[in-house]
Amino acid sequence: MQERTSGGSERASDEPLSGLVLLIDFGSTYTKLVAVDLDKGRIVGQSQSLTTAETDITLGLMKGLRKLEEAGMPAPAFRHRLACSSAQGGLRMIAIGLVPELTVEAARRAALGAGARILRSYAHKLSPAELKEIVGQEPDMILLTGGIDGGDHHVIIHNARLLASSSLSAPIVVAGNKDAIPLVKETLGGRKEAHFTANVLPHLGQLNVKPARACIRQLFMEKIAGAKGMRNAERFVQRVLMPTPMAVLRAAQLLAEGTKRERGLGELMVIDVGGATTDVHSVARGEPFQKTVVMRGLPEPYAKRTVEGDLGLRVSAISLLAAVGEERLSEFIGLRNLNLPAIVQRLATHAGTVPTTAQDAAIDLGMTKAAVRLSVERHVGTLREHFLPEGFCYIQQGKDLTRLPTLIGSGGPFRHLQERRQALAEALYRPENPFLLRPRNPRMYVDRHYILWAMGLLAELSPTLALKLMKDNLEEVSQ
Amino acid sequence: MRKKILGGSLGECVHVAGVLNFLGLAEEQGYQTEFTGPATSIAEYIAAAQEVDPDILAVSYRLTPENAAILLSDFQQACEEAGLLGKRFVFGGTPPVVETARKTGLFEALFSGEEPPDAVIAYLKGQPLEQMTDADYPAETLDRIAWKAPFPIIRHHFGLPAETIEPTVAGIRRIAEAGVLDIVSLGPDQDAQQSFFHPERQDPRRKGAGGVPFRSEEDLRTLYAASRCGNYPLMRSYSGTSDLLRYAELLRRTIRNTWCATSLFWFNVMDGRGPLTLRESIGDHMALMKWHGERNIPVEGNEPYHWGLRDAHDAVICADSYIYAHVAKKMGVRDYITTYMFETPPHLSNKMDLAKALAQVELAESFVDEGFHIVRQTRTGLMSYPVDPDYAKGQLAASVYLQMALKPSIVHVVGYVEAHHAATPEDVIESCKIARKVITNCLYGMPDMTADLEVQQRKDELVEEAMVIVEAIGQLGRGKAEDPLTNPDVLARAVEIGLLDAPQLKGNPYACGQVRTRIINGANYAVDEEGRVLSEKVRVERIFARL
Repeated sequence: MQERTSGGSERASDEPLSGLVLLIDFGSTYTKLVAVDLDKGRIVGQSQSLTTAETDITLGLMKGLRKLEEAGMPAPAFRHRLACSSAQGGLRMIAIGLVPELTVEAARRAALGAGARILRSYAHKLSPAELKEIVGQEPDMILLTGGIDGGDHHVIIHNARLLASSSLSAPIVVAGNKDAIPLVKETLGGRKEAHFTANVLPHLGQLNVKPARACIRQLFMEKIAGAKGMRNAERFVQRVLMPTPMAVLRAAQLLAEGTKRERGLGELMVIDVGGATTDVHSVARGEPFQKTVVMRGLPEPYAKRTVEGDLGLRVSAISLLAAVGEERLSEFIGLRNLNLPAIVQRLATHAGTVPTTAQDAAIDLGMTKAAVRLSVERHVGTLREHFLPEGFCYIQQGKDLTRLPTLIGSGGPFRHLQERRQALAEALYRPENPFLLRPRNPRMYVDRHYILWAMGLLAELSPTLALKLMKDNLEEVSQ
Repeated sequence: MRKKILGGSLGECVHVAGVLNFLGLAEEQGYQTEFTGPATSIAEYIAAAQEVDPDILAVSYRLTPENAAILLSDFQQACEEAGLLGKRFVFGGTPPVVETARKTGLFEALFSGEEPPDAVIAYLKGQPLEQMTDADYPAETLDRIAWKAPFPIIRHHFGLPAETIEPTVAGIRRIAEAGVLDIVSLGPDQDAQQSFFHPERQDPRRKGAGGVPFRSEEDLRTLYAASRCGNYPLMRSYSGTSDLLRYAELLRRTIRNTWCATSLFWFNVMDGRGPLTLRESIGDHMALMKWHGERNIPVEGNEPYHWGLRDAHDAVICADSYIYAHVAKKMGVRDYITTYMFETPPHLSNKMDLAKALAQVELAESFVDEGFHIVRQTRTGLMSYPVDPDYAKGQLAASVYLQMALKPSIVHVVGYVEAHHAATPEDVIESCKIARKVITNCLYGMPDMTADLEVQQRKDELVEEAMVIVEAIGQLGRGKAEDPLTNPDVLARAVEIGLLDAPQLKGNPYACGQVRTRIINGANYAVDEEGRVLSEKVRVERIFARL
């Protein structure tokens, strides 16, 4: 492993702990378990079983635990039990702001960074029809923003009034213009469960998503996880700490930054291809490095997550085909005359499908490549060319990741596929489209045992051990 | 609630320096500002305006007027659609683009960079320059300083040598209309200064020699009236060298003399610029300070640099800064305008020059309290200008840059032509523009030269050395005066025995003139017969030993 930066990350105390720790992900398809021996400092067991959220979530959990027990690790042996969850659709949020490219986008980034799945976002003054739509979607939480500090306050107050008048029972996180907060408080007070935190966009050039993320996570732990069928599970794990995507983002950040005792890898990108979504996490500044380039748009969060809800290999296979197109997907797969609509329909309805034939494997590889290509295209920044009297100048929007040193593939495909390098290489810079700022020449790794989510959880207990285990687990596929 | 300004460069324009400068000035004037960045599309700008809900929308565009016409038309339409036309709009761009923008009728103010920097501030303060009348401009120095902050106000000497006052009257009008100068400092001829109330002593053959030959109250009123246009500059004049109080009253009632310049040791028989003895003139200067102090009129110390002009070593100049501030405070002056003349003597290095000025500042400002304020004024050394006008322009700019390290409230611009000829109105305007550009650059951030270690070391050394002189004067007056530093006899005696001395006073019957000085490593030291540096302690001991 190449180590590039010295660490500064201190997520939790690195005081020595002992015993076995059980890390659980109640995923949308699978409940995954990872057992870590803190004394030996290594992973001692892993198991996976179908998630049983529709009936009793603990059924799948118990099944997984039995597999560990067979390996000599009975449930009572785990001194620490930490869990994350994306079951039952994960943390389903709605973002409301004023301008789509500004406070709405800032709200989206705050929610995504907190591991949420955004059902929809709304801009400007909500109409009664939009309110009805919001109520109909039954979100777990609402993030209400609007106006920079000292800026517009009419819209957020209007929207608060409308939400207050609705039958919504979801908690509302308010992270808008601070000048409007007293009136919003008055409007929502007693009628809705409202939580107030700092503005996600206090100034035009200043994104401030951390307080909102912390607030969302706290609410998730206290209210949401339990309400999503996790009550029984919580008897076993004490508390579900965070949504799964947040655990992955935290792992990525730890892997990049390191700790005081263990160096990190430096700036990096993790592409997590799943059955329902493809998540891209970049831990990088992404600022322009050429004098002729100027930045535009909302500031980029250093730790940024984007979620492509239409790019999944199973539940979202149909939307993946729609996004990519039949012809192009055929090219990715490398096979002709496939009945792709039927194939994706089958995959979507049988989420547990495992490739058994060479054709199945080729389809999974092609879909992974498409998901990687499109998700990275949507994640990275772009350049626009401008001609000025002084010469060319470029306007950059989003992160420039062309110099990114490390690229990591995670998720089922990167664990099971043979052509892991080929799939991951779809994230790379392409000369025919130089204005998409994808990584040019990174070292490429895969999350061999699919443990990034688990290490995001373990970082709560022992960041340095989590970092070491992640580094040990990465398999380089650059060549 | 603070007013809000949203700024950004529109369309494909990536030039943001102008709009950022504008927003910086607005912040200083108490506005909340937001910046959309370079190359903001109309849609992005409108979106930002919706989030910010600004009072003023400031846009800049510096590309071609042809493109600007289309862009601004689209912008205006988009603002209308977004319901923003009720807001206030400001535009910044190149002069041709400004002309295009003006035609849209959208903008209440347009800046091309050709206007004086204070035009922007005036607009931000709600008083656009073009709408201001005489009554709107602050009529007193301190008010004008506050009004123009963070820019220092600019002063320039002006008085054309001629048989009549007419060339100066026309020149003042021309300068005022240029709007680049805040204080016209009238330079009278010798008889206007020395014999205004004594026509019988005036010499018609030297009329106009060295300055404007005003001879009557009406002349002064005419000169002042000429300044009531353009940016309505304040006016002041050199003080008289006789009938000081009467002269002060005259200047105040005719040209609204914005402050009075007084000296302590000069403008008497010692420098040949007045008939009074050293003791008499010290007493008169003190009375003059008191008269202005009682009327709350600022007093300028036209004093320490006179020692420097005669090659006095740095410690004497610094000691004099202390003495003058002490006297001014004791005379009831409330607002003391210091003058730190740089490059005096002209061979000082920038480092040592700055150190000397900082020592002067520290010594003078040690008297500051609620009832005694100091306004820092800086100026370029009279002797530092080369005759060649191009070199001289370089000297003016470099000098003002160094002066700005002191964060002056008043910059006394000395016309770059002074080594060649008396400044014409065009020379004054050109010099002021050079200085203003330097000042503007400095205000957007300059390195802190005062933090230089060598500068600080020399400053500390000078403060210590200066206080040796001050204490020696105290010793000289012990038992003779309650406060030796305000006693004309003691002060005159300090000059006579050489505690305060300068090489160019050699042979002067009213001074000592025995000190030798030498520039070493860019600083001016007192030296002994062999040219070795003489500390003030040793120099003072030798002086007292001679008595």
